[in-house]
Amino acid sequence: MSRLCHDSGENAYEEVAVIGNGAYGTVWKARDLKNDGQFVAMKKIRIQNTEEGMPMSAIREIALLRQLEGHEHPNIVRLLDVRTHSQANSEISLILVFEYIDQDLSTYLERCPNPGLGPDKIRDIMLQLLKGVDFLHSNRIVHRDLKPQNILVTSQGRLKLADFGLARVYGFQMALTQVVVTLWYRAPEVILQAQYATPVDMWSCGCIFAELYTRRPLFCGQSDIDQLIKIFEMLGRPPEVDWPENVSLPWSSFKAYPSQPITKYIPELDPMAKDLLENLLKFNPHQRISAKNALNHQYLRDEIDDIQTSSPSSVSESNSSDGRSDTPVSK
Amino acid sequence: MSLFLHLYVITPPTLSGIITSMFSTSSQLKYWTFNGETELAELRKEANQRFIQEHESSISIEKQAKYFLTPGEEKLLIRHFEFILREFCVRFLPPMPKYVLGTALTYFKRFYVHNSVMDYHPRDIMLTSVYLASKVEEFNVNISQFVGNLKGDRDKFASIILGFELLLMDKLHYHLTVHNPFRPLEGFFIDLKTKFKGVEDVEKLRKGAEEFLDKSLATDACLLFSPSQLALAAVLSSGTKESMNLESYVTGVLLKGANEDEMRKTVYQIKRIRYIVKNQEPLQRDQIGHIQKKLEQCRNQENNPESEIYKRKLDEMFEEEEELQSKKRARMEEAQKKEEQLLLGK
Repeated sequence: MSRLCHDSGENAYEEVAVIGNGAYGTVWKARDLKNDGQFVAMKKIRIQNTEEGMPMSAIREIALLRQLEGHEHPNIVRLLDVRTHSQANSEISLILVFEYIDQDLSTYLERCPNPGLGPDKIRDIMLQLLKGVDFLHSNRIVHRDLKPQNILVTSQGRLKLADFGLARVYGFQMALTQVVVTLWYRAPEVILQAQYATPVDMWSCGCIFAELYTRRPLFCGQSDIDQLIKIFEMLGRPPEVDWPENVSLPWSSFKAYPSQPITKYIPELDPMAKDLLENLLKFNPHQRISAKNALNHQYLRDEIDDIQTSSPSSVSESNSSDGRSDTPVSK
Repeated sequence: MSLFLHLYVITPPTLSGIITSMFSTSSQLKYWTFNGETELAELRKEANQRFIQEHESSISIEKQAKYFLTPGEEKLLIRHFEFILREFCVRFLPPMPKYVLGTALTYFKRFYVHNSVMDYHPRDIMLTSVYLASKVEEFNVNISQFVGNLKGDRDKFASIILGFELLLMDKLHYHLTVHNPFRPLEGFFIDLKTKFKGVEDVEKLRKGAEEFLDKSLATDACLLFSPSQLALAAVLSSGTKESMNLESYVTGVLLKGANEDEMRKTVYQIKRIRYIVKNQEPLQRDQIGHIQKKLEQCRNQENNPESEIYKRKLDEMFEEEEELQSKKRARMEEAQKKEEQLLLGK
């Protein structure tokens, strides 16, 4: 279908360099010519136009991203602008303009000098990560692909989640560190292709939590099965009752690995942190801690209490999770 | 503007979490809730003037007033098409949920705050608004089902709708989530049933309240007030009709603990809504024919899907696009070559 579209072109932005690529489009570093040429990250997503116009799913995702942006959540990357552009008769290119942040958690950890981040910094990062995830979940969004490569870190140390929603639907990301699609942060139910919901993000948070201490990924599987083996080698094979139904890999195909104490892998883990980590890495998604409950976990509670007594402005932020559904569903 | 809203005060506590947190941070409040009818009239006049300025060169000053639509004529035409939009939705098959109509009408109204009907024909935008609202609200109808509800050349309508879909989204700045007053209305019913002992049969209020909201759709109320304010005005108006005294609900339950200032402001807002809804001017159908004739003369033919100039522009656009793409490709290849040369030390 043909369409005329005025001043929704790309003239307001000048492309500087490609920073990411995927099946559905490209991510550019660009200059926002209307705002003194400040850098932005511009994602161009190609959407197949149908006989019905733009697909409903894409339109609803755009509406959702726009709606989320209204909250200006401190731990979510800012969506500055949305544009569309008819490229050819059968294709629409959707342009999402995000704030540009030149560091992700992966590079942040690489750049971190020995002996590592230290417990206070780790707690601060976890608090910000969980706040961002809680915000997505309270808006019924499952990120599904949380990993250090799409968690951005500003020069002020503010964490911001990226690559959720539409960007995820259209399967490509703004990863600054070029990596192959990684299994390392995937929850077991995703690998087993069972039903999944918000708990998959909590698993990823657990993997990232451990990585903050060790500065290397917790489970580096080479394949689906290898990934599960790596998980069971540390956490033990789960009881058969916890195994999801109707999955192609049977429980009996895995050896009965005994569980290892996690402190063997991360000796400096304090008891509170250990408890939270174990609750994030529960094999059974129903037993896994939610973002909201994680934020209320004693490990972070102390941190929140500290902040609350020192700066009253953060109080509302940590309490802003009212009125959302407690059982977010997978999209 | 935000001073008047005080949503946390006027939202029923049962729903306060959901509605407050969603609306108070919404783009609806930030970008699409205006101060008053004066501001709206100003913006619409600006859109009208902008169009005339851009197209006046070919017309002598004396003829301008006769040739172009006045802001008043634009308003009449918009209201006429709002009426058609509502009728279209009400008669739509399969039956269309109320909130789709609410969302579509909101898109239509928002569009003509900043655009002149001389630039984009209200018939085109009306159809596109309903189609887009159906998608956003997940009311599943395909395009042929959709235009099946229209009389006349259905293929032409389908092509118009699909041709304006992107433009409409763009002009709405992709703020596509609309908060309608229907949900808060249900919230008030629940609140009245559970927290207020003064009314025996709360359901008696429903008919009058729904009628009030239906009537409010014909006004600019959705551009001026929050959905929960509209819902409250609907409940109170219905209460008056049914001779039910809801005053103690408002002061004793809903606004309990609010200070005098907040109380006064809320009451004032509710009064304004009731006044606007009650005192709307009737549609002036006898004038529509004349205005539409005038519009055919002065409208922007570049945005008229049936005009030659529209078709030509479309062709040119795609040619330009191809040219641009090939230039870009060449540029990238060039850059890549240079980089390779640098790397290889040639």
